Amino acid sequence: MIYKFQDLWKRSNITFKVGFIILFIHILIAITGPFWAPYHYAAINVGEPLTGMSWKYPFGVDALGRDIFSRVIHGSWMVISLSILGTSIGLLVGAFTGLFSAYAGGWIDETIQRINEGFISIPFLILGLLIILAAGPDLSGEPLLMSLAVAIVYAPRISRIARSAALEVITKDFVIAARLRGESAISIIRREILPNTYGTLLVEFSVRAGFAPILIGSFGYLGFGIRPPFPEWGSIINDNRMLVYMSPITVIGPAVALSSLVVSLNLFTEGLARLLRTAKREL
Amino acid sequence: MTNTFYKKNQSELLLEMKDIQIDGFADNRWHKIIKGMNLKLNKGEVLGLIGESGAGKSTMGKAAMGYTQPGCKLVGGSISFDGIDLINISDQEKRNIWSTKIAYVAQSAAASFNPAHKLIFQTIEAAKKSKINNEKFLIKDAIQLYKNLQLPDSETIGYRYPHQVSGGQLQRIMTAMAISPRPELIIFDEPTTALDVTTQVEVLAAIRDIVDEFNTAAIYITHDLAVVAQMADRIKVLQYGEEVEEAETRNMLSNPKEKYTKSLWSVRSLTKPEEKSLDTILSLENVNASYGKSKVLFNVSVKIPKGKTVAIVGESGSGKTTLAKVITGLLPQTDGNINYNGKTLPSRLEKRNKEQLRKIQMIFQMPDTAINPRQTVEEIIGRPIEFYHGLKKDERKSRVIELLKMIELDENYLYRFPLELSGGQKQRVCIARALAANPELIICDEVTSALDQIVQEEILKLLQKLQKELGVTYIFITHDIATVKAISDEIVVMYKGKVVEQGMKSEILNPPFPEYTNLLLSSVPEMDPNWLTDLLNKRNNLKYKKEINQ
Repeated sequence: MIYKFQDLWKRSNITFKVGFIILFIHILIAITGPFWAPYHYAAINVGEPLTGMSWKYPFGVDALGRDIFSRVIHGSWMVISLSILGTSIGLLVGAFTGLFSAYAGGWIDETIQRINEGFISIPFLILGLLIILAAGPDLSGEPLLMSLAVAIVYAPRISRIARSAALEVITKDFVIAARLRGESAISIIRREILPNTYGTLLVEFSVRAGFAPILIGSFGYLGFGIRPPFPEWGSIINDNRMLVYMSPITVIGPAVALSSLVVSLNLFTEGLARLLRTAKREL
Repeated sequence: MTNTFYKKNQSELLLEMKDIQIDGFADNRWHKIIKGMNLKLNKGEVLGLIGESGAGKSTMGKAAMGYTQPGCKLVGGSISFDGIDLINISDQEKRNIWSTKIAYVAQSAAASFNPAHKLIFQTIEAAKKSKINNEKFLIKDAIQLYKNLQLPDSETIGYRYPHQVSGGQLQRIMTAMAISPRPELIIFDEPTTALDVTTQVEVLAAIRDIVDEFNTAAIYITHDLAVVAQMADRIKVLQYGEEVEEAETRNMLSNPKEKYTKSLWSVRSLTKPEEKSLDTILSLENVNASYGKSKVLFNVSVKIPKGKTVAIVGESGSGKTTLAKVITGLLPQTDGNINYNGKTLPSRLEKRNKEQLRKIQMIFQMPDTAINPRQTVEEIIGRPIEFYHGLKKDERKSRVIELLKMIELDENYLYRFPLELSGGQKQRVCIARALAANPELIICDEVTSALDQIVQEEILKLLQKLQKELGVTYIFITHDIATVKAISDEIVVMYKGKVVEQGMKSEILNPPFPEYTNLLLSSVPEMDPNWLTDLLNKRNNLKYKKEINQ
């Protein structure tokens, strides 16, 4: 499973390549952006409001005279890191409950699965908003709360996938051999089952991570996002919602940033999954 | 066919394959699977293709239809079937030939039927599509075929779904399906490998009769020499995609020329003198067990002598594996006792302590699934050492190397993953993992059935050697009588969850036999080409006598 990167690149498909390149640019901007962005994200009156697209202000200027381009660049690292953090927590919790549920079986399995189904039956966004609301006015607006909401939305879904992947492994003789040896449940899950679900979990992670920016953006757009003036992309779109007829670029700019991130993550994921499939077939 | 009473017309050439070369795709490049092979088949003739797995038998068999499976391609050679060039015709023409003139019987009948349709409609599908006759006629014909194949309830069995009949019956129905359009060539790809010996005899006899009756040519692919001896007029031995030798069946059996063929023939000669032991290491007393509500073991009492090998034989469904599960504690018995060295073993796995668990180890049937593909050989073998004996790092490593030497591998294998091992090597690693615990009793559950014959012999030899060195006791679960003869001291015969008899090898394998033991033993194919004919005659006589007596 461990390939050199060059080898991977040579074997990879066009989907993977395109996804990887766009994603790479996004990550590069997220890391270096704050150092070379033309203006501070909260600096007002840097340009004439509503002047539209220009070389100086590629994404235009908002009603307060803030440079949208700088705001988008400053917000980038937050969107990406919150998405990854949220998905990671969701993956950890989901994988653990899923694998444990599959291994334990019986009423434990039933209980965990019914709880999962309870969560899954609530639509993504509504569940996320409920979590933010439940956190109360003091905590809402905290960046970490966004990650937590993403994690709670994802964990039950990942849990189900992890469980089904584990059920396939559990019937194998090497798991029975470990049970006969007298190994504890935790040890069997960690040593025997988990490594055999890495492939599934990896794909699951990247699919979920690809959708996380939309979820976080939606929180921002609906006014439940990170506290202003921090330029979270969803809230930039919301701020400029009313300007869309006068200066459409102020909405299109951040929207393109968001969608290109999501598309690149999805292409990357799809390509990766295909790559893993072929790798598996050849093994 | 070897037992025909009349001379068939076998002079007309039906199939001619010249210089066939087939490549297969793996590890990012093309490999040669078949390296230029010739094959000739006359009308009404049966050709046996034998060799170990990976020898290219199946690929060659499929190529006889002008077909290569996905991931393979035909790169050279010519195939001429009844004067038609099978390589250069259109797919449509090929399909027409496949549905009427060439039929293929796959190894696993269970996986080859559509579970949503009744059997009889699947049987006649090809013949109906090619408009050989109307449906009514074909159904009648299919029922007649079922009768010829000695299927029970031949009138109605076709109206069942695939899951409602047994594996052996499915295999016979698949043969009927192949015969239904009256093809000129049938390719049998290991049609009896997945069956019990007792069922195998019936299927073999049925196939042979029907091939005789319709003067069909056949290619019979198998790795079982005794089977091919019954079925084929000529035998072709393959190795690594090349022909080793080809000869008429009797000549081949009595006088193989090449070294490789001789080694294949000699495998079944492994034997071991039986030894008696007075100490009992494990005894089961009136053990009953069930899966949910269905009872699978009935009052089983068995004694396992210390340091010896006890073979548990019986066909599938006889409760052999369940017995192993009860002994290991995976399936707690409903009542009865298991005594280990005079002390009662807790029935549940969770209730047993580390020491009790350590003493009983198990080796599984499928080496592919018995070891974790994500762990290196060192981790696989090292884990029990660490777990039971607390050895860490270097100590652990040197013990692993020691064990690797015992199983005749070396330290180069330490960091290999299971994917980089052959089937036989994987099974060796499984043996080493069991030994790592320093067990007193090892349960071997069909440990050789997934391996090629030559590898089987090596594994059996290894197990014998280890027993001599370490004095471990084996419980050897198997349905293969040849293995039993080779390795056991005592034998337990099981049938439908009950013990039919237990005794020393010489007692069990020599008459007088209880009825079931007799059936089981007599069903094991022998290398003699007359074996099947003789056996069937004997059984028919017996049936006849019984009917007269009644």
